[in-house]
Amino acid sequence: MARVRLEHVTKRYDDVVAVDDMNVEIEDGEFVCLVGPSGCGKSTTMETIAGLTRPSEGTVYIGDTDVTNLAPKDRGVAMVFQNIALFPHMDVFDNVSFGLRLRTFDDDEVERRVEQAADIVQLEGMLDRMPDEMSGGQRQRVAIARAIVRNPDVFLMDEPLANLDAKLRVHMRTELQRLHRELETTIIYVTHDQAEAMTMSDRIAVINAGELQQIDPPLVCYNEPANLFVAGFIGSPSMNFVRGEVVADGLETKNFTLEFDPAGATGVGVGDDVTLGVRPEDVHLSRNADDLSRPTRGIEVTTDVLEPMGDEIFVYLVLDEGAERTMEEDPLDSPDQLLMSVSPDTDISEDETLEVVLDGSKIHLFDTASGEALVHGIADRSGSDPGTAPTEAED
Amino acid sequence: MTTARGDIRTGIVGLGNIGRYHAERLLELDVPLVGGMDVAADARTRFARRYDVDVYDDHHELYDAVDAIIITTPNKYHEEYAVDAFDQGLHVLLEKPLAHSLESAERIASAAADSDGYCMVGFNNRFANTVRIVSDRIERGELGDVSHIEANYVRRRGIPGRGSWFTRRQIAGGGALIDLGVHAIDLSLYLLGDPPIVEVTGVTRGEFGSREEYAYLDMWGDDAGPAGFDVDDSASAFIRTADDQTISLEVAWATNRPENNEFVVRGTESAAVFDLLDGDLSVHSASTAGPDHLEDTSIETRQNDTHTEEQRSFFDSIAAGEVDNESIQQALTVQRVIDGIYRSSETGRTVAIDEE
Repeated sequence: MARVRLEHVTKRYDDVVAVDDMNVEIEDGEFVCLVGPSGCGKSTTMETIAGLTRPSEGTVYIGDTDVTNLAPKDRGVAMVFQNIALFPHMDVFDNVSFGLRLRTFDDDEVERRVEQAADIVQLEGMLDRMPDEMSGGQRQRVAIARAIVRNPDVFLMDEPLANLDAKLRVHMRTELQRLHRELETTIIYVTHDQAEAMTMSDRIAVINAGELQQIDPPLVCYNEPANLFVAGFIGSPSMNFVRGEVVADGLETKNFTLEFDPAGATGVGVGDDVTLGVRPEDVHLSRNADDLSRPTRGIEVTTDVLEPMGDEIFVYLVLDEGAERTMEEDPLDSPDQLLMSVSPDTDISEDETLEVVLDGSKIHLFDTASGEALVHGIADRSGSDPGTAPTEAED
Repeated sequence: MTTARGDIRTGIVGLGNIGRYHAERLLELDVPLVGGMDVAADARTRFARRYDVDVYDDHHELYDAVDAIIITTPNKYHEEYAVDAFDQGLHVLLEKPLAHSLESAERIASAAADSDGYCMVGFNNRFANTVRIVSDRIERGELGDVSHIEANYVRRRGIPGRGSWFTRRQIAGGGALIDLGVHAIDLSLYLLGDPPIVEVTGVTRGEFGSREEYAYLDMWGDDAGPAGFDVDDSASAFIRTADDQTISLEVAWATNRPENNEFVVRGTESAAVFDLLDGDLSVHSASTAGPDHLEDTSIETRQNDTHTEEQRSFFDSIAAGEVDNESIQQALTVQRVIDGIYRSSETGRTVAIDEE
């Protein structure tokens, strides 16, 4: 087991900066997911930890050792990739034990380790099978067993479940969590699937355009996103965003006004150009909002499309009847629409005019220009609880 | 720890023409050739008689007796022999291409990364004197920013024996593109400084090998006719890097034009033009010194044996302990480009190359 630390790591390919001044500290035994859209630099970050890529600048530590210039095999890491790279000419035993003999283990020790790893990933009795005789899930277990036998300080996993079908992926998620509990080893896990990150990790590192946006426990990223990118990336469906301006008694947007006392919200000043963020589950029908501690004033809307999902209904709300009814591709630029999630037994239909409120305690305000979070939760003038300023994201 | 080149016990896997070609150069370099392995009995017998070394039909037996191996087998078998060598910590000089498929290439690269063994992939053209001159001039900034390379490796009638492994997709993984294109792509990326690749678009064709009436003067190997041919015999492609440097690629085993192996390396200050077939090298630029003028300079140098230089580099790196995984990573990029061109040709679309 070991702590992993990146200090000012930058990876540059000529003019392209894949990783930009990354500073991350991952604790011993932690399960950390690196998430972000395709091409954001999360895999390159992991490759610098693995030693597959040498950073242009910066230092990588595993434990207290500077491993920046060490070969992958000398770093005490074991990797599992998206492509289940089992050697087709070797049976499971030989696949799992690959490389062990180089580490000066005798045959008995190799056998003991392979059997122990096979036991952990539930592959007992399959050690003489060839890869083409196994299912996708079994092959991925072999790949994980191959990592386990190395007894690494750190597991590095790059989208290891991406090629499995949806059902198996969910099952393997649970398996990996169990594995982490059992081995108590540091795991760094790359995924573009935020649901995977939310369910498995102790902390999520959200990366965009090569830069670390936030590293925090999943619910902190969800409830207190450091900026607009994290707010939009974490959570499905995505957070609603509405641009507005802070005025003396609240926030003015194109289609509605929220009353709150800017003086009570740290970091927010009159005249600021801000973006309001609110998740679909924090938009409520006024008639069902009695339990909310801090509802905003009512906002008149018209329902557009309903999407029944079984356990909830997504309701597309039109704020401006005169506006064209299309969902904008950029959620940061859809001032005339809101997405609401309601329980499946809600009596609601399309083209219905009704009133909604936002849960003031779940409203986020972001600086529109910089994207940085200004406040999480605002108090309506009638309320007494001011919003909380965001804690500074770890850099 | 350093060792001497002459102490590196070396074996060859695959004892056909290329295997023997490598064996001759080992002798020149005073590297001890201690054995060979081939599944074909006649190849083993011929090799043993010529070089007076032990030969095996099981590579594991050879591996117990050597420090390094040279793999010259058909592409499909690279993985088994290379991975088993890495499992024993042997050093590997692997004839190009890295593998017959991208998936196999990735597995070989992952095994190499996990091994004490050093792997060099046999891109011998990098060691040509003309290439070394151009590379040094690029390094010194004499070409300015290199923005485009025209890469040609075109034969007029040069399909390897129809019916041999070269012309069977299942074993070779492709035809002219994977056999000749691999050299042209590697050399271009090498001269561009190994940039990340963004996308490729290309077309591969099988226009000659599949004909009954294929006209040719010479053929390497026997001709089994079109029944033994299911690969491409030419390809045209366009490759774009992350910095918008570009490569236009023309490769052919057979086409109706004179053969050449010409590279045009276009920079903002000058261009270098060289042909690996005859060693010609020239540099072209323009100047405002005095009246505007164009300048064409012909450069003469000795042609060298690129395979000998490749081997020298491989064994000297091992001897000096100066080994890294650059060669195999670069070969993996080349394989991604080749795979992308085949996919582009199949789908009729540009293919993004994801190196992340």
